[in-house]
Amino acid sequence: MIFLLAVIGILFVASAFMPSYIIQGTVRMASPILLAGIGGLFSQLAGVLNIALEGLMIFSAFFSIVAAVSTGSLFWGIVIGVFSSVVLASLFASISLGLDANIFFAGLATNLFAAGFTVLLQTVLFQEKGIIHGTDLIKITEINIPIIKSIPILGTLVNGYNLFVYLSWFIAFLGYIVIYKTTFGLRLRSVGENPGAFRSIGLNPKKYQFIAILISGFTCGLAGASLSIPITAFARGMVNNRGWIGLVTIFVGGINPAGTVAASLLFGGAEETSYLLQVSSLNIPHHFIQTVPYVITLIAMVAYSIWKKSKTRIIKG
Amino acid sequence: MSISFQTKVWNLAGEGQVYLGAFMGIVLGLQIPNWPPVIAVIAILVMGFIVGSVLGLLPAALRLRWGVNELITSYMASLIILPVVNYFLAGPMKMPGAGINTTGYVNKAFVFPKILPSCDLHLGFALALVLVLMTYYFLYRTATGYSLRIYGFNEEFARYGGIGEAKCVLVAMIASGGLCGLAGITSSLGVFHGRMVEFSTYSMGWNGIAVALIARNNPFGVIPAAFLFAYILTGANLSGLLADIPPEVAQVVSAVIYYLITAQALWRIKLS
Amino acid sequence: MSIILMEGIVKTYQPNNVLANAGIDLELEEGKIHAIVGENGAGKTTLMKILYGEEQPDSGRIFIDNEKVNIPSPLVANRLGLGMVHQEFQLFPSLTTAQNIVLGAEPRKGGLFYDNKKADEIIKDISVKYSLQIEPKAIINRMTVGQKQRVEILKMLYRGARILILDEPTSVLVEQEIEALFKTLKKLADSGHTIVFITHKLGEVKTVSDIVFIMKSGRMVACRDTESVTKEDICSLMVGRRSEFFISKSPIQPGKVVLTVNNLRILEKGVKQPVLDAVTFQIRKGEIFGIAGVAGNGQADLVEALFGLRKISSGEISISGKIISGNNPKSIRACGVAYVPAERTARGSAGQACLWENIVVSNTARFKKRLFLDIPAIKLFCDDKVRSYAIKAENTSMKANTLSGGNLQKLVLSREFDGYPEFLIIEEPTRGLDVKSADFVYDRILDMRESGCAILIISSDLNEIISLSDFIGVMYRGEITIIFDNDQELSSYEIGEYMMGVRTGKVKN
Repeated sequence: MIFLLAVIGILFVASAFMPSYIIQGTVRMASPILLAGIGGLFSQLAGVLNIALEGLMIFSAFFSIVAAVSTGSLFWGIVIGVFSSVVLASLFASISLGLDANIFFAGLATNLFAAGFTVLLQTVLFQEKGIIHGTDLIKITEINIPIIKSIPILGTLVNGYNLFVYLSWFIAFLGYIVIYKTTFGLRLRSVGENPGAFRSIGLNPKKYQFIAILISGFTCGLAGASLSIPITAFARGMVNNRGWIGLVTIFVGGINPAGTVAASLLFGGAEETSYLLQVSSLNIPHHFIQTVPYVITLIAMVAYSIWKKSKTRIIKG
Repeated sequence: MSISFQTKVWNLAGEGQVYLGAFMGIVLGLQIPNWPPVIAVIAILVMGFIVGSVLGLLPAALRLRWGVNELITSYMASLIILPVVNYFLAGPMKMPGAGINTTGYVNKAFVFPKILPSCDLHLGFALALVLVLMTYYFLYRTATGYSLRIYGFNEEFARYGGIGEAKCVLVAMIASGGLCGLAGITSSLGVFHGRMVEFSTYSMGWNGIAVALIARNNPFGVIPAAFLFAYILTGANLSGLLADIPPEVAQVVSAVIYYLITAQALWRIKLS
Repeated sequence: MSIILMEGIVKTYQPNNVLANAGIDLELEEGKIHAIVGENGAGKTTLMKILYGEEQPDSGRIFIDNEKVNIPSPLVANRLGLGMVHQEFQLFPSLTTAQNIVLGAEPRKGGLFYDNKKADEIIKDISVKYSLQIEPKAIINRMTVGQKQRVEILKMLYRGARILILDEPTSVLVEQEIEALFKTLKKLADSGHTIVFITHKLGEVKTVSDIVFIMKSGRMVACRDTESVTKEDICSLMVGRRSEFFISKSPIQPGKVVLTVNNLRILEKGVKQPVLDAVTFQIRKGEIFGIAGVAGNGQADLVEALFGLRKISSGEISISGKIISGNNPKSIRACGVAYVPAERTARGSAGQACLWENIVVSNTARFKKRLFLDIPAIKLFCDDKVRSYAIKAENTSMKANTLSGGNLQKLVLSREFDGYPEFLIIEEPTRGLDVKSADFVYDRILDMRESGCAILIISSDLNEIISLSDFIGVMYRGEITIIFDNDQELSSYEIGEYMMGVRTGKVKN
């Protein structure tokens, strides 16, 4: 919670003297990571390290565009995209929970499968390996909130995003409510802590883990759609490891929703930096710019581990 | 890969290690065109091994020093290294006038000769066989290999028995990373006739995991497993579905293999 | 009035076809306290697990209130009014008492939401009703074992249990907590609950139970009114089980000091309570020092610190004058220290590795031929150990996880006792072992003592500590609060008071 307040505080201060597009960019970039992170958090709490987030996002990013193009409707695109991600999540869950596969390899497999399968399908369906465009589609617009938009700092922070950004905040909030206020959330937290005891009171751990993975599928579905739908296009590699970064937000955030929000804003900032460097007049090769989010993720991961280790350290002397 | 999985240290940097090994080996090869071929090739191979192992060393050190999950750090390290290598391929190291991003060719004498003239089987294959043998002896006959396997079986038992965690994690990551680096440079010297082409080794790291899984982490099992895997890939190629083997096919095949091999319940049903 | 009737219960365990229950009949009477006694492996726990639906019998029938029932799972058992408290508590450490108790049958608001307030109220109500004091908002991992057990009992009562099964409920408690537990059990029985508990302490049977069942190697050998039998009767029915430990020790010849622990401290950041505080003691050649204490008072941490598995904040540990604190397990082993851990499978062995791989873990240097391991020599060495420790194993290449608990413990002992170490740490030497294996272990420990080894024993079985040790220390909250000479008349009650922290004393040694 402190971490979240600190990051929001920094954003507030920053928005006072930084151009608003940077702040907005950060928040916008954070939203798919946040969605993936919240979904992954559900799995993590249930005791499942869900490294399939990436693959789930890829699936949805692809199928939402394919569906949008073939139905001509963004709405159906999103619905089918999310659905495809949930289907893939259930495949992942069935194999890892139902067939006792090593969750780690099953997760890797899901990522590889999604990455390979979408491009293959793209080649077969569209005879096109690069980009699918939905040129005829109407783009979704930014939402303006009447009163808030005219308030100086707050206006920058919370106004003028597309549907997915608001949705990601809502999902994060909803995630918090579900995890801490509902019986389902209580049970979810218990599964991860002691599956044996969970079984002893007559509840089925795998059922809850399954549901948690499906929730990951749902939020990653939204995350994937949020990448492709606003630009009405799909390109291979467009998810660009955001699922992995989402996974890292869970740990860096200390395995709670508030921390995940904060960490995703941090990584959103990293991606925005990467983007700004790309369009800036500074002549940095784009290859290096590409690495910025990963470098920051790596640093954050290390920093978090150092901090965590220092907390449990034994006092010397 | 078998080494790291037997030790239960997760090396997800395979992609980066293969790529960097292939690249740095060729870079070295380009610097020493006049060396006697045998020495030059050895130097190139050593280079491939070293850079691969260095990339394995970083996540290992982070895990040992601060307990950072090596699964994520090795993956991130790999993600960082791929574009960096691509930068050099597209820029400073690019062969002038080439249509694709590639380095120049190393001295023809350094390229692995083909064992049989009619097919692509090259000397790298023999090298791989030797390495398999060495890996087997290392894992099953030496004290260090024993330590690694015990550590993989039960970390706590190893610590209690006096086996150092640091040694196991470092050796596993160095060996695994180094062999990945070797795999990269071998393919550059063999299949690609002594140059490094952008994206050329993509998904080899993932395929390696698949092969290790098929082989159940047994070094000898790796040989038939690798053949089987290669056969599946070539099969996909010959079926005429696609003109060349794109990395995606390999990815999908790997994925299906991961699923099938690790789905233990499936095997139990078959056995009973 | 009979409330439960089990008839002809048969249960065999694969893969070794172990007959755990060979046609057992059991009848429980409403409102009575029943004790089930028997040696380890007599099939007591299996029988109770079958009653609770955790195991399915091969054949046999169960009746509740004269109606035949099928109990395929604990959930069904709950619905039928059965509740079981296991030896290993089934709790969620980071949740509150109330959350632990209501989980699975939570009070809800609006269908979906967890009703925190109501849960707390419910817990308060039932804890008053059964006078089992508990704070609904307390977090489990900050509780004592006795409190956790209360939470388990309340959990079952909340689920409407009329019949309460407890598996060795007293084995983890100290005397004072045991008394409190017995009061609770009596109160529950008075209010119409039926209690059945497993134990191997005959004193408890006499104190609290109305009816006693005696089991022996998978059979029910007797069922008696507790009043009508003496401890000796029960003992002879169980056969082979001594009512008290009887271990003959030669008087000690105080040798030179081997282990010196001086002012050992472990402080963790952000935690006020030290893990270890000013721990100071010595062990001489040929001496056994036993440490008693309620689990979680620093014994495990002390052992880990001694063996280099845990970092210390300050203080000094030395072996025969050589300082070993700060060293790693490898170099500590090289100083002649060996360690038999409580966790035989988690720490003492690698289940997926074969026997010879398990036996050389601390010994690889001896079997090195340049870079390689001399595997034939290791196998020979292992064969030798298997024979001299009478380990039941087909060959040295079989996996360690196919050994039974007793044989695995022998394997660990054979490795750790090899080469007569100077100082030996033994945790829970006989936990989970049958009488025969336990005797074997005691003999070996005393052999080591005779040979001049300094030995530290940590056990949750106070009788074991008293019968083996020359000196006994009690650990409470990270401190050794008292050290007794074991030649005086020591009562376990007195030790219990120190274990509970009711009394603290001056440490001498």
